[in-house]
Amino acid sequence: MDKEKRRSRIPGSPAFRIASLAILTAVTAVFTYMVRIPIAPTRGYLNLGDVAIYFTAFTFGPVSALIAGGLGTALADIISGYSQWAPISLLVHGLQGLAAGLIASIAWRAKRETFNLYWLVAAAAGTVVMCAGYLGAGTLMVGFSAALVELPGNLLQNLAGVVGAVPLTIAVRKAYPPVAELRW
Amino acid sequence: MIPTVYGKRGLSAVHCFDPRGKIILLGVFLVTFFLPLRIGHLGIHLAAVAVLTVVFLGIGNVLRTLRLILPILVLVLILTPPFHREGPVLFSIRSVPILTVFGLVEALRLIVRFTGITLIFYLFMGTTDPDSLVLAFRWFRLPFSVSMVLSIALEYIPTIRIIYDQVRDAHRLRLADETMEARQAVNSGRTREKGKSKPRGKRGHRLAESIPILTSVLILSVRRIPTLAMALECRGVGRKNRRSSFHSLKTGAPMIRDGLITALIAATVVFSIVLFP
Amino acid sequence: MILQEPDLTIENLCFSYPEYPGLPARRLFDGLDLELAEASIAVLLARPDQGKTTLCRTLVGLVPRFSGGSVEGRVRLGSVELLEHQPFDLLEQVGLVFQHPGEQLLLSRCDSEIAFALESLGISRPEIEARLEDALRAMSLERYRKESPKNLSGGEKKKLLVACLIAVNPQLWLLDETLEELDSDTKTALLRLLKERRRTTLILSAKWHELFRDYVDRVFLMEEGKIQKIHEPVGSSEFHDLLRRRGFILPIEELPCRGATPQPRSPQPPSDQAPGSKAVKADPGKGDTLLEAAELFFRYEPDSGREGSTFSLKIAKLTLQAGSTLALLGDNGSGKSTLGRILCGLLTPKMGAIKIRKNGRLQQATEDILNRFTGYLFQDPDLQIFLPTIFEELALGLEHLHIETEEIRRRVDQAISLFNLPVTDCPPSLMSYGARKRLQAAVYYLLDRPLMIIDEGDSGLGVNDFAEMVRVFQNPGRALLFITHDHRLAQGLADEVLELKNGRLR
Repeated sequence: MDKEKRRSRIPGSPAFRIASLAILTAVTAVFTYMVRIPIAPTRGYLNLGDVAIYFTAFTFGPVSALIAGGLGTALADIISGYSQWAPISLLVHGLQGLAAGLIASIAWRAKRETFNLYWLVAAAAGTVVMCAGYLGAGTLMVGFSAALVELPGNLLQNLAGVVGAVPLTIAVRKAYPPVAELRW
Repeated sequence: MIPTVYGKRGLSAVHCFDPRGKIILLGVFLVTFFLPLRIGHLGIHLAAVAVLTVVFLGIGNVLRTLRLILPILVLVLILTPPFHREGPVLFSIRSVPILTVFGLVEALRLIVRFTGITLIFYLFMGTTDPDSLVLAFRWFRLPFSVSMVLSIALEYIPTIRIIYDQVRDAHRLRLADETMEARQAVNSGRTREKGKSKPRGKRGHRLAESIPILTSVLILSVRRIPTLAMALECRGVGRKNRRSSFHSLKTGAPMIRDGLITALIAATVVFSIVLFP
Repeated sequence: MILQEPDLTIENLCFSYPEYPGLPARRLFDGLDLELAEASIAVLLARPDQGKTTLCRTLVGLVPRFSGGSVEGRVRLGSVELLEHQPFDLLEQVGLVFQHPGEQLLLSRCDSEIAFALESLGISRPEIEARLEDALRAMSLERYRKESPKNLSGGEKKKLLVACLIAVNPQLWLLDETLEELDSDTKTALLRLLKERRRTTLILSAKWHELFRDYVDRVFLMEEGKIQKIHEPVGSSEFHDLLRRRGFILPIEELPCRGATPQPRSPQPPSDQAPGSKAVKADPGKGDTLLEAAELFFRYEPDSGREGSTFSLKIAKLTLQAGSTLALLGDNGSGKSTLGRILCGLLTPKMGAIKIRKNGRLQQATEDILNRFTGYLFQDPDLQIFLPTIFEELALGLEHLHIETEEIRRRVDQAISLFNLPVTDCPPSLMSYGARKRLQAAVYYLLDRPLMIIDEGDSGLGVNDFAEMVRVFQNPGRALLFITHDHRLAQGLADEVLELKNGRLR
């Protein structure tokens, strides 16, 4: 009994999941509302939220990206005074994270740790979901033609998202290897 | 972190109104704005919402909110009519209809809808503090873990923000020589010999400069996950027994009163929809 | 003599860190043994990085659960085997106050924080209210009941966490460096409370405080993975001699930097010179003014969210000379960090000017110039770490000073040995806290800036290591300013001590 070694891996405990989701949500929210480059007149700005969503999807998996992506962007909308978009962000970015996370987890299960094509496919899926989602929701809110105006901006944002998320995911994993154990 | 707005009278009746009732009414008004009602009818709803918001949150705040969405509204006004050119013509160039009544009404409908939604959300968010909101969600059966994620995320947003600012400062100091050189390189059109990417114009360059900063921010944030989990577990998160709740929303007479008011307002809206479709 | 059955028994506790590529599993505890009688208060002294926090977390069950690695041995509290339970089931047995309060406070109101653990236990609301009031009163925190914990000062946050523990009232209390940063009245009140309520307590600390003498029953030392019980009577002269020999009390005269020969500075980087010029700039001689600040005034914007926005910083004149070491003393909120950030160009003063020595004379300095002139060691060493290996971190700044690869390699190796850094490929973020602080220092050592500011470097480093670091940076061509709130340290290491109070120099 004395000499029994106790080993562990990060457990699937509720506290761990809550902690992980809370921090990733906060990070996504900060990335979304902190770094803003104004471009389109409709929703306002180009932001790094998609970088955070894709990073979460690649590193932590689909469930984390769903919740952190949806909740994080919704909170960012509320903080910056666009709370009318919050429910839409919740849904659209949540699904974006889910889609990207599901495809990226194929790579993870195949033990591909570095940059690979699955990530690009995941980002493409995320882009489609996000742009289609905002187009659809935008049509309901402001009509099809006005929603269409936002489309190029959204595409650009997703491009920035994957261009930023790929090196970030690799850099974080190399500089802090234990991050791989935080996945659930 | 969610800014609660206070009108001139500070804590008004709407501020103290039960958040559960507010959520229900938010839903009722939202649905109303999406229904295909007569434009006049929608306009009255918008006016009601606007009056409420001005009374409880002040005209200054309302104007500021409207100014934020003005560009979108203008866009809607310009872009919608060209795609709806049926009906009586108001304006045409060489017998090609440009602007019709139907198009104008469609544009107005969308404008009223978006403005109404914006104001009702603004009223809702500005008069409800985040803790009450989370309690209300839990009453609507939101699971404890999700409400915890929400509460903690709200508390951590400022923390991550501070981490970001500090990391930016630390990198700025450490890489001061490099930044100088990179800036000179960009200005004179040369590409950097060593670096993660060639400057793709100003924005691409800024993104490349941000990668080290964002890497540090992500590492610092991710390191806090196990620590936060530890803090939660040593305060009992994960136990099998049922949690009690220290804070709670109103019960008894105030709850009934607010509930009745909610039902009354909802009923009024529903009747008006049925009577004047 | 009645033998008292010990309340807490630690038997042969061993812990090893998890293994990573490039980093073999390091053994931290090599068979710890400890016994505590019921209702006794004990102090465990250990230097930074010896495992105080890990020990606490192991007793509560958080290690190895969240840290990885492996634990062996037994820990018994009364009749409960602590290591066989999950942390959330031990609420009424063990309570822990984290070393960094910011990591343990989660909610938006102080009363919610205190009530949280009680809610987990399923306690009824009236009972929670009673315990909450008792806890707030015991720690004199009643007026903060509805406030956000973020608005509390560092010491008050610790008091809040102690209040959380009072409300739960576990059998064993673990206070991880809790008594640092508390003023003496609060320390005394806390110790008295523990004695009155007969709680078995283990206080972990890196320094010995004289206040302990009247309340503490037993003192232990933890070093090299083993615990040693101190048999000398607490407070006796043999006791103090022992602590002095082991480095837990440091008299001023014994600090190593006095009289040490400083390192000569490497030649100035040529990046500022006109191309083609081969002359090496003459180093500022010792005594030359390196930086002169006059009529500095700074105030935070009222809506920047900073508490107490009536704070303002006003400095009539500040001169820093080459070869000198200055200490900047002050309490939290006195403006030490603000002044430090102005001196390195991170903050712009509302009024006043800063001149620095360039090309032999004093010139007006903009923020960009100050960024390159000053090096700043932040209290958190992790703010700059983002690369996978120690070598890359150290070489990063050098590559842009146009130095050949061979020379870079040589300088990096010199820095590694000078700062006692591990020679492996392991990622810097996996090293111990003290090692990461030394890495940060090494980075700036290689950048070789004329002015070095060290912000609260003694926290987490231990007095000896910090004094060593100061010595390494001292140089006839450099001015060194270190920020601290330890008076003895300031007196012992600096040529001159400046004290800031409410933004004004005394």
